[in-house]
Amino acid sequence: MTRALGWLAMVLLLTVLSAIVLPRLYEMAFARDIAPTYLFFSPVAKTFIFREHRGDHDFSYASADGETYDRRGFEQLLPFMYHRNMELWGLLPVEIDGQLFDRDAMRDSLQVFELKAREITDRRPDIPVYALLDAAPGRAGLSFPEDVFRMTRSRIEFIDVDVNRLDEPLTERFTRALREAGFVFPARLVAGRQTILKPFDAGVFLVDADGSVFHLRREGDAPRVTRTPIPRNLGIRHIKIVENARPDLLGLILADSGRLFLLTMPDYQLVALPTQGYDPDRMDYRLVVNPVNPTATFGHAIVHGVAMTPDFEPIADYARAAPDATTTRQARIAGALFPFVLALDDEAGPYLRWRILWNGWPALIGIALSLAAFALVSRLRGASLRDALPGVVIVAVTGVFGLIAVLASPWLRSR
Amino acid sequence: MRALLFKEWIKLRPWLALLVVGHLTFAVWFFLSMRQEFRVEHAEIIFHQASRIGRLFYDDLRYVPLVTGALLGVAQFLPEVSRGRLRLAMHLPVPLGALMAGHLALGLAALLVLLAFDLGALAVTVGVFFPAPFVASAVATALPWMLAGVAAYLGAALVLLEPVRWRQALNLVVVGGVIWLCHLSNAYGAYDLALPGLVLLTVLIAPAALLAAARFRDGAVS
Repeated sequence: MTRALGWLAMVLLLTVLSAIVLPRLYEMAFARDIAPTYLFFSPVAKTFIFREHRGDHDFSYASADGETYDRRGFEQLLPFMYHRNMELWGLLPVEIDGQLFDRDAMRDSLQVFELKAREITDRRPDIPVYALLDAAPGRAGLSFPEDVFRMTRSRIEFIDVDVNRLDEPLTERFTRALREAGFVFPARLVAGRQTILKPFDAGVFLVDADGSVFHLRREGDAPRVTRTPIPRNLGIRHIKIVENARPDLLGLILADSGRLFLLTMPDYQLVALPTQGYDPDRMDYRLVVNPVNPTATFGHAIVHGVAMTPDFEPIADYARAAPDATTTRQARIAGALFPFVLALDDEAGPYLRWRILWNGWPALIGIALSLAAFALVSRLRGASLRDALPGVVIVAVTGVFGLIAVLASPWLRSR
Repeated sequence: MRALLFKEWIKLRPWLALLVVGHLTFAVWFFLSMRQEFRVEHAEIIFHQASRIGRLFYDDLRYVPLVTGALLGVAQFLPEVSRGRLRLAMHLPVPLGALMAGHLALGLAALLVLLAFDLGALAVTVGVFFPAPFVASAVATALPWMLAGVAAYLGAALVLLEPVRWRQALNLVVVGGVIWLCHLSNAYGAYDLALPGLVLLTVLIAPAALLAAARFRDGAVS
C-alpha cells in the first residue's frame, strides 16, 4: 500500500512537472513569436490599415483594400499618431477633411485610451488603500498627501501614514460630506489614477452600495463630492481614469454586461463605444481619439476595428484574422506530441492561474506513440499485464508526460 | 514510537536551537530595516511603492522558509541514511508507513512552528507601519514561500532516502520544480488563486518520500 501510494504520488508529480516544463522548453527552442497585429483607421486614406508580423523580422504594412506600403508610407497615413515624424519630413501642416492641422494641433488632439484585461479591478490583486491627492495644491506639480484612505462598511477612513493611525477629524469630514451627497456605504468600487505623474488630478470615483457613482475630490483638506448622473443600474465593473492634457475626456467605464463607455466631463455624460465582439476578460481595448476619425480596436486572434465620426458614431468596421502562431509547423508538431499543456502563469493578469490547454485530436498521435513505447519497455522488462496496467492508464490519459513519469519512477511491482 | 520521536527530538534539538536563533535574528533585523526605511524615506512614497508599484518590502523573507526547510530535512535525514541508522529503526516492529510518518510529522511540526513565527513576525512588522489591508496582502504573498519551505523539507527526505544516485538526482529535479513553481511571480497576491494546486503538489512529496524510504529499507539498486 505504501509503495503503491508512493508510486502514484511520484508519477503524478513527474507528470504535472513534465506537462508544465516540456511545452515551455519546446516553445523556447522552436516556437516563433508573432507580435500582435496593429490595426488603425487612416483619416487620410479613409480605410483601415495595419501592421502585421509573421515571425522573425517579417513585418508588413498594408490596407484592408490590399494596398501595401513601406514603413514611411504607412506612417504618413497616420499623421496624428506620427506627427513628430511628419514634422521631421516637412509634411506639416496637413489638410484633412478641409481642416488644417499643424504639429501642435495634432499633438494636442491625439488621445489614446486603453483598457487591458489584466487591469480590470476583479482580475488583479489589490491593496484597497488609496491616496486622495490635493487637486488644487497651489504649487506646480502634484504630491502625495501624508494620509491614505480606505472604505469600510460605514465610512471612509483616513490614515496618517507617518504614524499609521486613524485621522479622525478628516475621516469624519469626508464621511459626512459623502453621506450628505447621498452616498450609501459600503462602497462597491473605488477608481482613480494613483500617481502624481499626470497633468492634473481628477480625484476618485466611488460606486456606492446602490450603484450610484460619486466623484470625490480634495482641495486642501476639504472634500468636494459630486453625485454623478451616471445611471445606477449600469452595473459598473471597472472605471479607468485617464487624466491627460484633455480633461473633457476623462476615462473609460466598463459595465458588467461588457459594454464600454467613454466618460466625458464636466457633465459626466457617457458615450457608448462599439463593443460587438469585445470580450473584456480576454481582450485589450484601445481607443485612439483624433478630431477626424476616432478608432476603437480590440481582439488578438481576430483584430476588430471600428472607425467613428468625431461624435463617436460608427462609420466603418473591419475585422482581420491575425497571423496565428498555432498554425506553424512547430506548433502542429507540439500539438501532436503533447496531449495538453499545463500552465501556471499570469497570461490574463497579475494572478497566476492554472490552465490546461487541450491540443485536440492530433494529440492522439502522441498518445499512441507513447503507449507503443511503454508497451515495448514493459515487454523488455518482462512485466505482466497486471504490473503494466497502472502505467498504461497513466500514459493513455497523459501521453508523453505520463510515459516519462512512469519510466522515470521506480517500477511499481519490482522488488 | 514515543522512543523514536524522542530520539528525533534529541537529534534535532541543537539544529532547532540554531534555527530559532536565526529566525529571531531575522525578525529583529526585518523590523529594524523596515523602521529604517520609514526613517529615510517619506511614508507616503513608501505606501505608494508598496500598494501601487508592487515593491515588496518583505522580499528578504522569500528564501528563509526554503533554507529552513532544506536545513531541517538534511539535519534530520542525512545522519540516518549516511550511517545507516534508519535501517535499524526499520527493523523495529513498527510499520514503515507509521515509522516514516512519525519522522516526517515531527520535522514538519517543528518547521510549521518556525514558519508560523515568520508569518507572525511579518504580520506584526507590516502591521506596525501599514494598515490592515497591507498585512493581509503580505501574509497572502508569503504563503507560497512558506509552501516552498515545506516542499524543501519533504524534498530533503525524498532525495536523501532514495538509495540510487541517479534517482536522487531525479528527485532533486522534482523537488526543485515544485519549489520553482512557488517562486514564479514577484507580484503581491499573485498566488491567491493558484495556492490550492501548489499545496496538492507539495503534499504529494510526502507519499513519494515513503516510497523512497521503502526502497531504502529494501536496498533497491535500480
